[in-house]
Amino acid sequence: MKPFEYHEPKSTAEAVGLLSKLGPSVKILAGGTDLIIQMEQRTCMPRHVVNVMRIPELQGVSGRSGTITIGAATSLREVETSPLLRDKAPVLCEAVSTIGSIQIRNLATVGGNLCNAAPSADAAPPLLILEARVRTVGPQGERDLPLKEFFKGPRQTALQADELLAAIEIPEPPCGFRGIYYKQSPRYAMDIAIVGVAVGVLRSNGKCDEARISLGAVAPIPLRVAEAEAILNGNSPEERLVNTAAEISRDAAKPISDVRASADYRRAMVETLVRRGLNTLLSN
Amino acid sequence: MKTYPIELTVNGEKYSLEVEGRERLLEVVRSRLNITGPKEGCSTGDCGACTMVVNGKPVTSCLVLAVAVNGAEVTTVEGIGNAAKLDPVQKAFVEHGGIQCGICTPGFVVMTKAFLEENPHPTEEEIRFGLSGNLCRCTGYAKIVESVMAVAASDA
Ligand SMILES: Cc1cc2nc3c(=O)[nH]c(=O)nc-3n(C[C@H](O)[C@H](O)[C@H](O)COP(=O)(O)OP(=O)(O)OC[C@H]3O[C@@H](n4cnc5c(N)ncnc54)[C@H](O)[C@@H]3O)c2cc1C
Ligand code: FES
Ligand code: FES
Repeated sequence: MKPFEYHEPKSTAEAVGLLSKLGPSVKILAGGTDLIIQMEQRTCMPRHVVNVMRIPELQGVSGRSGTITIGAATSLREVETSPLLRDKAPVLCEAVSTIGSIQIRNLATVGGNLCNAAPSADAAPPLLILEARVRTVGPQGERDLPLKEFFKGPRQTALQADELLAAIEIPEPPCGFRGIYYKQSPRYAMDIAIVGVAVGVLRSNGKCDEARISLGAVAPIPLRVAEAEAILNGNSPEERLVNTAAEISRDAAKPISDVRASADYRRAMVETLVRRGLNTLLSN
Repeated sequence: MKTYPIELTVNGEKYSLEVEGRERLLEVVRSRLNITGPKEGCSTGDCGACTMVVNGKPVTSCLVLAVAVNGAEVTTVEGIGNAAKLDPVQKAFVEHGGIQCGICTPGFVVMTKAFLEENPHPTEEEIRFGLSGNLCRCTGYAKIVESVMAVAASDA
């Protein structure tokens, strides 16, 4: 690892001040589970490292007036085991529990997972179907944007160089909302997704009021598939519609072939997993 | 190069030292404090041989900057037991063949201890999930799972 200067701000204001002052060769450090490896491999060689783990505002899960707020530097293990999230958004806990190991999730943060912006980030699809928003802080103040506008490309986000991600905000899902996350990977544990599929439905009186479908690891950024959702919204869940939604999702995927899986396999798995998710959530 | 003063309490003993920003907890504990129970297997978070408990939580110490955990309480396998006085977890690994070459064992023992503290009576499936961040090339895991089951049962 190349030498660097280390900084440990105690507030977001101080952190933003450091980011503006230190200029382009500065990197934010959270849990370090992506960054330390990149620095060790010298694919990232910052001159300054700003550790945001001692900033109290960035820590913890809390709920108030219909919104659940997760501080960006909250560990994935805390997200996974949070009683509030287990109650209101279990699909997020389920998805996060597939990331690395307990040791990794004790270090890794939810903000780091999103800011690292790997197409396969497992926190992204569940947060997308939960309609999460992100709050960023920079020298110009705060910005609030939907998570789906946060991802710009592999390893690219909407953050400016002097901005940090402060929090993820989830509108409390209406009762009757259920979600499910499938992660397809060659190994059951400690492996990244070759396909990640999150499906959510809101049902009443036997109808599918609203469907939400999100895909990870099959495009440059995690996707919502609005066209597939539209097929189901407001309709009785018939097999034909479920199959069509699964096919549209498959066609929306733009995967690459790599050592882990071929593009064809990934597309086929998107169709299978979307269909399985919808059938599971819409039956009984 | 610029250095930073830090304090660490490792296995109950306090240390003050100067570290560079880039020094990782694993190398500081092994090379500077000469506490060599934690092993460097992969340095990428995959093998768990470097597992330490830091402020109550098991972590892969190869991915932790020492400067970032200034003030921390750290436990390695040395803080759990030694040859003269084995911890029940260590005893179970010996008795049930959960240890062969031994390189993975310090990580497994630290992780098992932390895992059982949170979940004293796990199912086999929970053990496999809880220990999935520790790799072993010798035992095939069955005997490690047996060892952990034995500790959990003896404590019932
Ligand atoms: C063994 C292993 C297994 C893994 N398995 C998985 C897996 O199955 N699924 C998965 O999705 N990921 C996996 N990961 C990747 C990693 O653990 C996650 O992406 C993690 O959530 C990153 O969070 P962090 O806090 O460690 O981020 P860091 O490494 O600290 O930071 C990651 C990036 O985000 C930036 N950043 C962090 N916080 C902020 C912030 N608040 N504002 C702005 N920028 C910020 C950093 O500058 C850096 O560029 C694995 C990693 C390891 C080592
Ligand atoms: S050396 Fe840390 S996980 Fe392998
Ligand atoms: S006993 Fe040899 S690697 Fe586990």
